[in-house]
Amino acid sequence: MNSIIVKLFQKPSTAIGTTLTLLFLCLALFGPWISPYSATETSSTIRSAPSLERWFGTDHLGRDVFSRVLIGTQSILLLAGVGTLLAVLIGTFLGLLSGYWGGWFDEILMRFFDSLLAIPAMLFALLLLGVIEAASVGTSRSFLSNLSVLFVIAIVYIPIVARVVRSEVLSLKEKGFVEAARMRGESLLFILFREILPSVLPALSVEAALRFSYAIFLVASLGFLGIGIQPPTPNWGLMVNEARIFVSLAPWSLYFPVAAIAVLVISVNLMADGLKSALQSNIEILPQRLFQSSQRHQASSAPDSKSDTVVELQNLTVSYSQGKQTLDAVRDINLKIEPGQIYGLVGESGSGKSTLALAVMRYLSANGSLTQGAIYFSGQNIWTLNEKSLKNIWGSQMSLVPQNPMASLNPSLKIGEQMIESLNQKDLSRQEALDAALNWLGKVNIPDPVRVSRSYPHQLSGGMQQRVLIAMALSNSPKFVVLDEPTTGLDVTTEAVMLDLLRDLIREQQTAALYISHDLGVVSQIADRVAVLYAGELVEDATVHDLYQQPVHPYTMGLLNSVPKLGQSKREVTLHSMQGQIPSLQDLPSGCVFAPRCPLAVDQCIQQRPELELINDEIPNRKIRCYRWEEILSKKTDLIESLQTQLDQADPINSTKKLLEIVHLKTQFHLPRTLIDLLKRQPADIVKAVDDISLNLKQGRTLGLVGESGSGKTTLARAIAGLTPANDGEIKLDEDVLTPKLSQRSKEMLKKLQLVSQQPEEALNPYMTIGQSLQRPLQKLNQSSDAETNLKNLLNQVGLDEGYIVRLPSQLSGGEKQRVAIARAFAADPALIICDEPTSALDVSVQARILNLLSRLQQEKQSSYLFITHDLAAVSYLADDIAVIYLGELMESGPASAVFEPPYHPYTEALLSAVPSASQQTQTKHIRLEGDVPSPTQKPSGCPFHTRCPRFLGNICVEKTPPWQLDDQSHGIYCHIPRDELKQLQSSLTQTEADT
Amino acid sequence: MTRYILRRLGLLLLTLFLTSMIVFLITNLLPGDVASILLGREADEVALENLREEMGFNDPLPIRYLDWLESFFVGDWGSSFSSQENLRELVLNRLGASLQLAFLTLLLAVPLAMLLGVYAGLNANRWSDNVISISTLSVVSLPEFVTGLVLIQVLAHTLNWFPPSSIINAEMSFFETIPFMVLPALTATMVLLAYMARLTRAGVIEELQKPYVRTATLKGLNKSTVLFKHVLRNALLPTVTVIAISFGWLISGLIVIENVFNYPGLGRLLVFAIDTRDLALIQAITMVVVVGVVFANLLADLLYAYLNPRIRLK
Repeated sequence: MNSIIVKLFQKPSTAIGTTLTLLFLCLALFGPWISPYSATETSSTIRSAPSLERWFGTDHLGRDVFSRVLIGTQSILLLAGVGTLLAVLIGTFLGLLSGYWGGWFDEILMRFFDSLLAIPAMLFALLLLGVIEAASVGTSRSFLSNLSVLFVIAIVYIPIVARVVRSEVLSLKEKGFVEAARMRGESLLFILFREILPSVLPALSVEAALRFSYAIFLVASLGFLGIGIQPPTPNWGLMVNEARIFVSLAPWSLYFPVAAIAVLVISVNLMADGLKSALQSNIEILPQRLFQSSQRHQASSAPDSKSDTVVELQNLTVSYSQGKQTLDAVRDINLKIEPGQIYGLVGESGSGKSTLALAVMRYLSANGSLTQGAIYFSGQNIWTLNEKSLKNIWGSQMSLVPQNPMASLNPSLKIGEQMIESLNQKDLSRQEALDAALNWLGKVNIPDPVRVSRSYPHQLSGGMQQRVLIAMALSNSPKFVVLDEPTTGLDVTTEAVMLDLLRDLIREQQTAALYISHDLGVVSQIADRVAVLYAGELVEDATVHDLYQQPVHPYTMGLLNSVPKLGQSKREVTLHSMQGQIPSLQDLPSGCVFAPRCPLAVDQCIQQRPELELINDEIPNRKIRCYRWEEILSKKTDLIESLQTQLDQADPINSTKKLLEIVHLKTQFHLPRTLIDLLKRQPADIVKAVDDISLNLKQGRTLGLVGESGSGKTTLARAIAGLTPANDGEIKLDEDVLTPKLSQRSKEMLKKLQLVSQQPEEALNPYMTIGQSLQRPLQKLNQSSDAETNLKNLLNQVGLDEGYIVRLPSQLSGGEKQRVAIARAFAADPALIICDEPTSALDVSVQARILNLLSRLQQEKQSSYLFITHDLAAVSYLADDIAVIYLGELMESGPASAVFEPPYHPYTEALLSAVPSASQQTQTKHIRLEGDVPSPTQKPSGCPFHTRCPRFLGNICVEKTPPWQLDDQSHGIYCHIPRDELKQLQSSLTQTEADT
Repeated sequence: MTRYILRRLGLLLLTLFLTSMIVFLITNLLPGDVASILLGREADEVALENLREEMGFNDPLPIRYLDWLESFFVGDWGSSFSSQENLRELVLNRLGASLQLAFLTLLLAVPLAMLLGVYAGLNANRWSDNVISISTLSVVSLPEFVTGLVLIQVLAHTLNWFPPSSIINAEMSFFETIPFMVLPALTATMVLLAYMARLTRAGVIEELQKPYVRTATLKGLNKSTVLFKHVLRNALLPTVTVIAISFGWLISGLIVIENVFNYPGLGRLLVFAIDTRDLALIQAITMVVVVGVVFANLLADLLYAYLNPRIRLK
């Protein structure tokens, strides 16, 4: 709050506006007392010019203009203020309810508001006032008309305020902290006013300020029209109207009220404008400037490499100016990329990898610049080029494959047009360009290039969009391509296909490439050499083989060991969990950047920054930034030991008690129908998000639920949690049948089931301290006698100290927030916790700690998990049992060991084959799924996987639902191919893999 | 797209229906009795009762509403309480005058607002943008009557370029009326201009941040191509909707402006109707404006959907 007030006074225009608004408020409060004359008192000197005695002169009736303006402040601010306040109060209440409840109430209210808003505000005001005036013939009207003006302002602005609040609520109610409140059975009022309202207030206050200024506007205009406001009220608008006639004789009686209105409204608007930008974001984002490419440098040095090096970075430092600070995002980088080489650049968020990539392309945002060093592209210093030469390089010699393909294509241009644009560098005719474009679309394996070229981006799937961007980037056979996390956000199976495609195309063209990723596994699949970036510095640089076989830098080792490998279980390996988090650029350590988190750090590391050393003697062409590399290379065991923590050696609990049992569960969504559909009796399109799934989870065990996006795994979790009620089927928890709707579940049921959701950023109420967030479930569901001790215990269990009790979520890192969310789930001491992708939004080095924490807590508390993820390695690590789902249907389920061994379901087989693994670099024939996941409204008949199945048999798969083939270890597969046959086919494949 | 149009049309009918109900209820439920307004406070009870019976005021409310709605849509609007003129003729006549003014305003405001908005957006946070932003914010803060009076002082009284008030009569040809429309149109332009320019600026800034602009630039395209073919195509698309939203805003403004300049449009007529307590006239004006606003919104929605492939090809 204080920081907002500070911000309001930082920008001069906002400061002036706020000060003036406050001044007017004071005038309104004290005006009547300090005014020299009364508002209606007439004198004999009419229309006298301003003088020392009569500051603003007198009007046509001899009234003192200054006094009237002064006293009028009160009436205009009072009417506008109280009217706005009414509108804000009622509008907020209606908006909260409408947004939170949704359904019919919302539908009717919104239609009603739409209709109110179809009447322009001024017209509506006049209509109401006209009717009121007509009705109150001859009665004393001053009070009544004031009241009706208030009423009009409220009525006109209620819909607008309610809509703003409603749209805020719509996004808030999906957030983790609101759902957590629902899952502990909080009352409607608590949820609306304690959980939701505080987060609505910023947007609401901006809207209120805006409405206030319009209300002043409206009151003045009504006064000017002489409607609703009667003489001799000192209303500024009315004064203007009265003074108009005498403007040539007494212009002052016109000018002063006009000036008063103008200054007041401008002040309020300036304040509202400032409030808006103060609340919008904490970081000032400077827009990319189209007409100013990043500033040019003077050539000073020369490349020191062989002539055929494509890209060379020389002592590169890139900085961002933020306010008065200059932050060095990447520092002292040296890198060379040769033709045909794919250079991997690995780093977590905040490591500066995207900054580096954009600097190489000379496309930094407006506040970024090169503060040191140089970048050479084919021997030319790219930062000294003029705009024309730069344009000749961009696109034709150097190109970018971005992340987020949807946003990277122009939504309103056809794909063909965007492809042709990329090719236009050469002097091609339009037809030639189109042919070339179609040819390239074919090259990236787009099945129907002609159709795709005539489509708009939104008509294609994410995978197809990324293929188009790859085609665009490579179509001019550039010398160098930057790949900025091109597969992030795609499904595993699509990612695998995309990596194959990129590898082949880049090799074929002998293009040099810089491949940026946060994922060591992905990089190992495609790169020849890898540089590891940490907090803006390169810490290790080696060939892929060397790096993965023998990582030397403690950070690299940590990264490699913090990701579970496919097939590793929590009972065999404990993931290495790195302490702390990546330092912010504002306070970088003075010694080694990794020292604060390094288990091997010695005094030297903390005091002095190590250089990136070439350790040619030991391993050719390998670079390390660490003082202790020799020790690490010679006696690696020491380090491994220091990384080890205790293993979870307990065997999985072999209980037979079914804790959770799901029987034929279905969740469907109906797409809206038009009136015509209704008349035609056309059934509504149905999305079967969860289609007849039966599963069970035994006490004390972890069931992993695996599927790609669109598989329905999250819907299933939400149906069990009661957040998205199931339509059909049964959910039994601990012998009790759970009602589909959360609101009908008893306190006992609520206590037994808790949720940890995907987004740590949204999991905690930003306006509650950690203590408050945890206290509530303790009181509500645990009825603990000693809340204080429990709170401390809870925090200790998730590895946080008591100091966190008074902190706000904004003071916590993503990993810490997720710990608190886990603590909150455990506060109720539940029997079952649903973990919905709890680590997918976290950095690799933090993920391991959360996975370790979850498995430790399970051991201590004997709780059971339903663990939902798209990450097969994570599920293989944590789960005792696994269920694989596709398009809302179960494909395979059973004990983890059985699911990861042949026979598998062909879909599971494809998923496993797609997992990029950091440990192996085999180039064997993998199974790749072609095509996209079908739309859930048009689910394939028979086996839903038949459209993409690499082991497709024929008609039987299309026509008949496959049988459930169950073995005696309760491992089941839905497939028409008999288990034995599947096992044979799949084992032979594994065999050939092992041979090569 | 057909689906979309059908849905829009359905919503339009619903909105019209609800709005007409609101207008009807406001004019019928509030205290006060049309009969006593018509006959004056001293009228005797028998005369009042006869008039109520004759005008159908004693029927149940829903019946009266349906009657009223029907007569509105078949064009039988009755006559003014005060002047006995045919309401439909009177209102449609004035509507024409108001529409002329509105059209002239849009013609001036839209291109100018786009220019200013795009320029400010491309130069975001530089001094030229700050000047445009602060001045548009100031202009948008001035009530129409203030802007109008300032323009009258400067352009009519001081410089004598245009007549200060719009004395238009039916015999004048369209071209003869134009000089009288300039000042009111300029006033309305000032108000709209600021509003639309600010929205355009925000749109341009938002588009410039999007990754597809980077894709286009890094293809090595000319800056003008990036700007016109990529950025503006998307940034100016929402302006269609902005114009429709401004339409309601414009009408609010025109009501006041017409009274400042004595321009013989609907706004002037509305204030006259209120002064003479002519409920039938107030109703008729409100309904005409509402129908206009709702159709303008529909038109904008459809145009937006047509221009935007993401909606068109759904």
